[in-house]
Amino acid sequence: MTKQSPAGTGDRELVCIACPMACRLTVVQAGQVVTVTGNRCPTGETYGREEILAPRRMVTAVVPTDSLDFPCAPVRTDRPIQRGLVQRLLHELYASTISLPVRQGQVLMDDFDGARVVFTRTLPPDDVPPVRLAGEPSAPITT
Amino acid sequence: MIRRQVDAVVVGGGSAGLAAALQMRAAGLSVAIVERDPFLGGILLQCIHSGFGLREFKEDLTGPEYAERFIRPVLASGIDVFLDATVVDISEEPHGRAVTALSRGLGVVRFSASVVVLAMGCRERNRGNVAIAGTRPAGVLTAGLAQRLVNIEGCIPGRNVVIVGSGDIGLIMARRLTLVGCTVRAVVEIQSYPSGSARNIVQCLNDNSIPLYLGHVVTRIEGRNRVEAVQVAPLEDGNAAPDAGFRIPCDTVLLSVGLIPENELSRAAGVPINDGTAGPWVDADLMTGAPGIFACGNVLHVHDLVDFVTEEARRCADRAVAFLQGEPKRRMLAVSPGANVRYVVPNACAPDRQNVFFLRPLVVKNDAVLEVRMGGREVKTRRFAHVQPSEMIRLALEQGSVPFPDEGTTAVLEVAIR
Amino acid sequence: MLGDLSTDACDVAIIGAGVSGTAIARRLSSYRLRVVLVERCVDVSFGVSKANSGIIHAGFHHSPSSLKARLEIAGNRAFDALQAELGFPFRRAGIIVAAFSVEEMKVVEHLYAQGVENGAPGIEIVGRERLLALEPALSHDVMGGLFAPSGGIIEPYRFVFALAESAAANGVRLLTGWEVASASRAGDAWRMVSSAGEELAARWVVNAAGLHADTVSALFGAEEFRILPRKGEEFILDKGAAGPPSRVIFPVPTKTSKGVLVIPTVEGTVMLGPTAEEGEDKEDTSTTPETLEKVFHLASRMVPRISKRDIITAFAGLRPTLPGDDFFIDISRKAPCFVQVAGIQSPGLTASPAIAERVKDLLKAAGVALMEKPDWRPDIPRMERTRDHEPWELDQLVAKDPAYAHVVCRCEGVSEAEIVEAIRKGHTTLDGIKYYTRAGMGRCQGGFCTYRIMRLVARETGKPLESVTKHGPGSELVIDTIGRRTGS
Repeated sequence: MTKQSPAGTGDRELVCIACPMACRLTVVQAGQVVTVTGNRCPTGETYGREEILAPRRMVTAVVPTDSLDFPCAPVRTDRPIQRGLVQRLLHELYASTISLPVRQGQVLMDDFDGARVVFTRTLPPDDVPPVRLAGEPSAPITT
Repeated sequence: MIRRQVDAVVVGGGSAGLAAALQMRAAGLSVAIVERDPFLGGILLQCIHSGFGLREFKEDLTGPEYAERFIRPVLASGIDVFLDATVVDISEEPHGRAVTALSRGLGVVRFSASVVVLAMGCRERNRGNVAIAGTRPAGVLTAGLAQRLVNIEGCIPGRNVVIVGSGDIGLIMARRLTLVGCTVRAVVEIQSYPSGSARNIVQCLNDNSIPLYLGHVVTRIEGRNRVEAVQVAPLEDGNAAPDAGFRIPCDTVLLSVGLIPENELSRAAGVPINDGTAGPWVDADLMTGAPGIFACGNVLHVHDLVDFVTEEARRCADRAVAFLQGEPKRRMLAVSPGANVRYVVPNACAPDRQNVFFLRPLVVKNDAVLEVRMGGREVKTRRFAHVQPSEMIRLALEQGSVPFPDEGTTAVLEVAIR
Repeated sequence: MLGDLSTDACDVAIIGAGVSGTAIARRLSSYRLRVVLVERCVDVSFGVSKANSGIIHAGFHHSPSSLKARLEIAGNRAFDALQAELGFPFRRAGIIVAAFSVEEMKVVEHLYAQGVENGAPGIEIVGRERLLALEPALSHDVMGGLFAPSGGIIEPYRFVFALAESAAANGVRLLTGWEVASASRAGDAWRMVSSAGEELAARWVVNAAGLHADTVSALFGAEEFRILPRKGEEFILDKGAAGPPSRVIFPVPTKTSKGVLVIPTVEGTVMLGPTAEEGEDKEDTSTTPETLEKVFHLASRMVPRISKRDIITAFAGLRPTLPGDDFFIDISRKAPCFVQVAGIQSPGLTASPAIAERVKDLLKAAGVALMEKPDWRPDIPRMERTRDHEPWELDQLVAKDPAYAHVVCRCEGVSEAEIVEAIRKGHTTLDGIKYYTRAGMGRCQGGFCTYRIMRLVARETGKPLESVTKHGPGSELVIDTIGRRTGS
């Protein structure tokens, strides 16, 4: 999907992944100057330029916990980070051990390359309300 | 045996079941969700990647985040939730259905319900379904099982992986396994084009320099106790050409070869199944051929976007409420897939209101035209820059756009792609 | 180190816990003998027996002069009583041999004559009309055939597990993961050493080692022979598959094989096969892509409505064949106190009760004292299965153990309680649990239940998830955990 010329010069063809439209971009680089064509919106232009100069990625991962019932907790970055730093983030995440409970949205890391790492799931899940076995069930609207 | 009487039983607490339950509860019905996992959320909980909710919430959410947008209101709204509970039987009763479930905590539970919403989702096609020959070592698993093992159980299934099938699930797992330290040696795809999205090809394969072999098949799996290698061959004239094949050493084979709606319970309940979708036949109300039993989500047909599942589930719930309130059945017209269309759901339309369909093409085509016709008359046309089987199409026909056929004629609405 | 051999040696060591070994073990367990059953895999029935087609043959395929024929007939008779005692799934569904031409009818007549001479009960030659009435799923091209009402279907590993359980309940010691590496005489006993260095002594040894009976025979300096593996591939169609027969359908046999069959299994699936492919590799149980076409072609000729869409899995087994193709069940003339039970291919499972009886008779004739145990218990406790009950019948079972209401394998309806029972009985591999409970055998082939079963194994054994295997060491399901936790 990508054609590449020697690094630092020439054209590349990319597929923009900013949204499902998946525009085909042609990106021409001359040093730090990058020209993007084929995008149907400004986000595409940003994506094209960044993908050449400083590609960024959202990261989602699971972090080990100390719980037997929920051995890992899913997390995400709240914005894309530099692609070259993804491995380092993963290393840090896999090396930690989280204690439950955690809530969705709770912050795990305040600042990794400018992004926050947050939990995406509440663990353990919120209690299911006890089923009403005695007394009236919630009234059905038909008899 | 514990007995419960409710207006509606929802079978399955995943994305379809949660949305349908909430919608019915909001209309004042008493609702019970029966879910076989120990928590709500279904398959979303193991889809820890993002890309969910772009339509529904205008946000880019992960699977668990999307699920929690529904789980919280469900818990707050007085819907009865039965977890670790598996429905084993749905049968007729004088005023509705008896739904029997087995629950670890409660034993046998028998619901009396006026309506049942089937939302059991789908299962994965497996090695036997695609007949990959060879030995049967450990290390051969479907992509969904691998996803559960990695993202929920925190296990790493192997070190060197070959993935069969370039659908989105396979691509997502190619990335996920790479992120947990595995090496994905190849993705092998039988078609000459990838079936997953361009976005995923970039983010999952290109980013990780994973080779994609289009027009190839895995002909054998090797290894006694654990996978040791696969044999891969190109297709020539539709058949595997083993002489042109090659061997890829690996210790894990992931199968991402398609999904099948899980309808054993539906069949047992006497619900007729539609061959085109492998899900229940449904009318314009998303009601199956068994009165009072409705279906939505992946059990009805395999979706790509969870946002569409939510939309379909809400619509289904509204119709279930109308049924329960005794609304007279509207006149309906059969809908059938025409040229180059694999299926259209629902299988009927009600011309006197808006109708929303989901359909799948049979072909890959650029500059395609979707045509809706009744008899010889054109009802609607839409142009697409690109269609392919793995991208479902949503088609809305506004109220009044489908003419009523003359009384006594059996006109059919046909949806075709040319 | 072994101490005094005369007190430490057991009376009989049986090598191989397949259908032959376990049947012999159970038979001998009714006497006051110390019996040890030794098996090199981690579970019983993991060798030849796990790929068995599950047919109880009716006694017409083999010549009356063969040992096979005599033991097949005697074995067939024993299955009603065995089922009453051991509770494995078994049904006399009846066997049909279908003929499509005049030449094939000639073979059928020969089979009929053999069956009559062997004493097969109720065997008939039938014309087309009666055949189609007996089995409506047959192709209308059929000309006539044979009907043997005493033929049946069985779940083979449940049978072997039940035999092993019954033997153990009556004092037989089972050693799994125990492979005989060397054997030598020590006084009037055999002294065996395993590949892990463990020692076992026995006065008598029974060689029931299936594919490796030749290797074992050589270790003991007994007769020299060569077991050649003949591979049989089988295909399973889902429950509810199109056009299944209700009887076991055989084609007319060839010189080497009984042919590709269409078998309605006792659990409701349909099995097509087995093929017969000569080979040399005793470890090669691979399936081949071309075989699917061949098998379907042969099977649909007899039962036309079956469909490839219903395939859920395929597997292959290896038959242990001897030249001459008859059973070799005799006291060894070369090695002392050594009984050969070799070449037990079809109809081995059918014959197994009679094989056990014959081994007992051989030992008795050789002077082994057989004193009956007055407290021998033929029955084993019935395995409770959630799926066998209607929901309203489950309250009692659930009151006993709530885990009977926890469905783990949705496709086969297997509850947590059944899986835990299997694990507690020593079936700690996914395959062992699968054969014992059927969890993982259904249409999704373990897609949904595998991780649940793994968790249960980890919970019950106290070992981590990484230790759970498919069928023994080397077949671990996961190789690591994220973050390198230990503990389950």
